[in-house]
Amino acid sequence: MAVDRLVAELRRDLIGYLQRRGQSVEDAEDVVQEAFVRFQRAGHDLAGGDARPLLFVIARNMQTDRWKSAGRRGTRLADDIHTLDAGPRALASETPAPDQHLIGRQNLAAAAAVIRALPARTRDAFLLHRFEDQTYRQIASRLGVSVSMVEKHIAEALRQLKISREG
Amino acid sequence: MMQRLIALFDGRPQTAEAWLARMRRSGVDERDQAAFLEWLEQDEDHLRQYEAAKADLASLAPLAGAFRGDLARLGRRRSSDGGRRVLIAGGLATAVVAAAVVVWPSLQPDHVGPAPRFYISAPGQIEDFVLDDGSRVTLDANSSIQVAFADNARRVTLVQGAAYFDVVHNAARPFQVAVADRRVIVTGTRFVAALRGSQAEVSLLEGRVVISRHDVAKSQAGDQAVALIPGQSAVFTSGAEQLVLARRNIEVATAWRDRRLVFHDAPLSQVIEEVGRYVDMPMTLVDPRLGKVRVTAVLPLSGEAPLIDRMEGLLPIAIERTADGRALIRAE
Repeated sequence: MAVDRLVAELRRDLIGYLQRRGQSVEDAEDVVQEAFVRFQRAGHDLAGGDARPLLFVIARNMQTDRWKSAGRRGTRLADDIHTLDAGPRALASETPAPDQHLIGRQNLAAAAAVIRALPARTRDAFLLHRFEDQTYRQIASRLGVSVSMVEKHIAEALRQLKISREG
Repeated sequence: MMQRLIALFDGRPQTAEAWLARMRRSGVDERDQAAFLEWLEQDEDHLRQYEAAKADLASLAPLAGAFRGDLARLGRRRSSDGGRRVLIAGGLATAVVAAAVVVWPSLQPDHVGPAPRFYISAPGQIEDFVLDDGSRVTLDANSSIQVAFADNARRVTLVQGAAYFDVVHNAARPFQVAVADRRVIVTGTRFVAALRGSQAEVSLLEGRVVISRHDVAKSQAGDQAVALIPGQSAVFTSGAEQLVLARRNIEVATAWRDRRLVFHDAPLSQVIEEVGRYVDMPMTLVDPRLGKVRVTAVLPLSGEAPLIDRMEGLLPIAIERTADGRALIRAE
């Protein structure tokens, strides 16, 4: 299966990366396992273009945390025991933590207003991408603009949403 | 050099939101992934910011219903324009702000058939259109084309300005663009045709085009026709025998499609002339010697400040607005 192969490849590369940073094979495997859990919990998708860089930085952060805590209070093997055997696939069904939903119901109306107030093209590109799951290429062809222009529209929409969230 | 310059302006994303937009492309290449990782590692907080932006986007799901109407509108119209453009067809007259499609009595010498339509963009406005066959056209500011589709051929005439064509493949019904006294004949491809004054230029991005002196339906259409390969431009003048083929930086020649102008070691007089197509204020170079100053710049056509102000920020010039609505350009 494609996802299995993807996971296997990512695991191998991540373990290699952590080993190069001075981790033992066993520890590297643990860290990678944890990283996958953390990755899934944050709502990321293995098929996303950002999966690989995110996993690398998550694994590296976890390695750093481990080193820090090892210095202070020994290893945290007990914390890991339940996740050691379960593969990342088994964890894929875990629901994301509730605190991830940064936009609460009361703020959804504000977000809707921000989207409505976007320039026409930016709004159209954003709506097609977010609510119709259209790819940039499809949107580019629908709106008659370049793919990089679509990306700029999406970035602008996200920027406006962020400004309103931070109000 | 040019690629580096474009990269500088196009830039790597600098914020979590810009990175999220980049990563949601369907084909994220290794270079982008490496650059993204580099950005994540730059600051401990970057991962949190990125995940916050992503969670924000995910949490918008309940709004799908609220935008159902807008999405339906987008589904109906193949080309969206935010409601500014009004199409006029079949003699139905309507007010037009930025661009227009006008049905005209047939004047085309080449053919007899349905009445041609005119597609027109206003000064300062780049416009996208989808033709009846699904081919897409982007008109540069202050440009117009005439479109007449017949059963045996899809005929377009570039009346003025520049147009980018993304032609739907149909070998049985070739697509022809008349530029000055030449015909650009294609079956399916992407190219740009420009007519500035008497100078015409055809630049091929993808596929194959043939430039002929005759209509596609005529038997001699292939006589002395010149074929272009992607990356090539043909420059010619109406009435002149000569047609010059050049390998041009197509990126530069067609940058207006991405709503930006790219100048590579160009005289300032040319910059002023090209920018003039997007500014509704006549611009005058006060000192003619200034026109010879060579400039390399990427000028975004869209943005918050008026183009003329952004130009002043990017180029070594000072602009004075006169009471009668002109812009005088001096050395900074």
